[in-house]
Amino acid sequence: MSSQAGAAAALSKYKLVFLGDQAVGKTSIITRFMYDKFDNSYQATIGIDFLSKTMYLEDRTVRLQLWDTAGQERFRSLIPSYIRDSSVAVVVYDVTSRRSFLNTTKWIEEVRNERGNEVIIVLVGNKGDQSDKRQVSTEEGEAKAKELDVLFIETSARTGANVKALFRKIAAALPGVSSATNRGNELIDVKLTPQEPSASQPQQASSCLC
Amino acid sequence: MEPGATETTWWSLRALRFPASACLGYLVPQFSEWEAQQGGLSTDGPTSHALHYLFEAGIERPGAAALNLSGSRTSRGDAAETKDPASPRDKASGTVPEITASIGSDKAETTLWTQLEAIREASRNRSVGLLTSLAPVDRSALQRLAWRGLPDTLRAMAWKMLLDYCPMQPSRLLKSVGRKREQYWQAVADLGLVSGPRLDGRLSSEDWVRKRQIDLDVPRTAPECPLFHTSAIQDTMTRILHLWSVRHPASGYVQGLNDILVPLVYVFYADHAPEQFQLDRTLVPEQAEPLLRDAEADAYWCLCALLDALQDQYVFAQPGIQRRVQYLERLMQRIDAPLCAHLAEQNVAFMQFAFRWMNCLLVREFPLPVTLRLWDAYLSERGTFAAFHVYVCAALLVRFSAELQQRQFPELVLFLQNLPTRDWTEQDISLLLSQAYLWKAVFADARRL
Repeated sequence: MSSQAGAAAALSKYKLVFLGDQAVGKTSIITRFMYDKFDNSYQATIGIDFLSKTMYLEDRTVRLQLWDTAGQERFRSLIPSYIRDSSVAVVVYDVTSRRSFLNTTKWIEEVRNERGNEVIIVLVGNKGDQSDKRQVSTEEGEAKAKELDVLFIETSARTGANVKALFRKIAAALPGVSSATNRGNELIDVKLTPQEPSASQPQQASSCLC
Repeated sequence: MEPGATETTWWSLRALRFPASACLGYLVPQFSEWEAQQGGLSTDGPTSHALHYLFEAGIERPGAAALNLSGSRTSRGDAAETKDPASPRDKASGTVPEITASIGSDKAETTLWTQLEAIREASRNRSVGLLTSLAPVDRSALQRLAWRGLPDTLRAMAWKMLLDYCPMQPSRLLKSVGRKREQYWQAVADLGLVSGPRLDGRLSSEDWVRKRQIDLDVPRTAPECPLFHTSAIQDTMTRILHLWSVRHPASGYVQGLNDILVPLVYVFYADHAPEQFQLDRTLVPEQAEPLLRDAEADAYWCLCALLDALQDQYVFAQPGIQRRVQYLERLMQRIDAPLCAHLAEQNVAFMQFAFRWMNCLLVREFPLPVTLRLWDAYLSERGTFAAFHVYVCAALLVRFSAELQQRQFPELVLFLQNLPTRDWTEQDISLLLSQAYLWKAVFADARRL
């Protein structure tokens, strides 16, 4: 990646903060995006973890700095400074946990309080593959996103479904992105219907080259 | 206080190329002389073993100590080189009487091991008569030995004594521990956690929230050790964490406490059934489970004792962690200003990497056997180990200072979050501990932590 010195010079950097309740899959989404792998047992994030990834889009390259936060309430005193610094907040819930979905309201509120409208917020319903345990429907997620004026997508870190689409969506919404790249918005989100982990394959092939 | 003096000592210690615990032995005779000149030192409290003599002296007279440290190093180093340049190893192994005496005689060590072994056997056989005939354990001797690393077979007994769970007086041991074990299982039963921690109908909604958090974290504890994914161990951890959090409502369960429980559970379980508790085992045989009831209760009480000194790390807003990370930063300003300047220039805040080091006591940074060695020293520091831990973190940063200063953001943060310590050995930890000790001696204000 770093061999592309020319691109690196013009590289735009963006900070993303991942928020949401404990064990909704923040670390799993990031790990799927970074290394395209999934593990059932990531240790709980303590404090803040950091990862960085360069994304190659059609007409430019962006460097994403991902700040992965701990979900437990007790660690929240650490988080506001990361929210203040970030241009994107990814608020994750677990579709099999209504409580985690209800709590996203608090997270989004907190981000709005800190950053007003100068921030991109994405509401992400993760674990979309676990249809038998689902407690929050896609429609509910969509409705809430619309109501709070934030982006929305459902993902499955386990199968990889829509994880790249999530980051394409974010990249497309970043400030200063040309209309050509904005076509990213038209990317079709795969409906996370049950038992179709392979549904994400076309997405994965077509999105970023990294 | 001049950090330079200690630095010199450290590098000269490293240059001697044998275990730091033996290196430090070199310094003791000089300190004994100095100590005698000062009219001797009191042996107050838990910090009275030989190394503490060495460094507590420095705390009382910081300037003098630093001079003495570097001075003694020079003369001792010279002597070693001129008299006997080829055989530092012989010295370490005790062929030079002076050195042997200085690091606490091997004979005393062997005696203590034999004593602990006898206590362990007698308590296992519940032999009251035998226990009554055994002499009490000398706490300061035990601390001195624990600081230098405990053998696997005696670690459980030694930890329980260092944490004041087992009395030093063997005659009281069975009664005292027996009562504690009963209390634990009674409390677990009262909470409705006995017949399988996942099934119960007696929890309040607050308890449910707590229980859910514990249930989420226990299965993802110690992912590299299959043993911790057996249902026997997971049920144990769930019960212990649940009871601890119910009984400590100011903090409740905080993520990372599951990590801290790992060394305790492992050491006490392995002590009861060593052949069943290899870290890569994927099954705990049913017949082993009854044996483990005692180990579970022991782990609970020892967790309580260990966390007593750390409660402020886990209450609302975690002031203990905030304070210790700030202290680490101030300390590093004095020890390694260029590294601090580099971190600041790269916009890397100490909180970003050191938070976890404090919250999980470095358990996640090292392989389990290495953590056990680190904790031997921590438990020998009972009472002041939270402060000592900050010095260990400082030593860790300095150890990687050169690598860190070569890196820019973001590689810098990634390096800090994934230190190349996965293949560390006990020797690496010994060096780290010696370094930490020197600094603790020099920077006297540790007492305020």
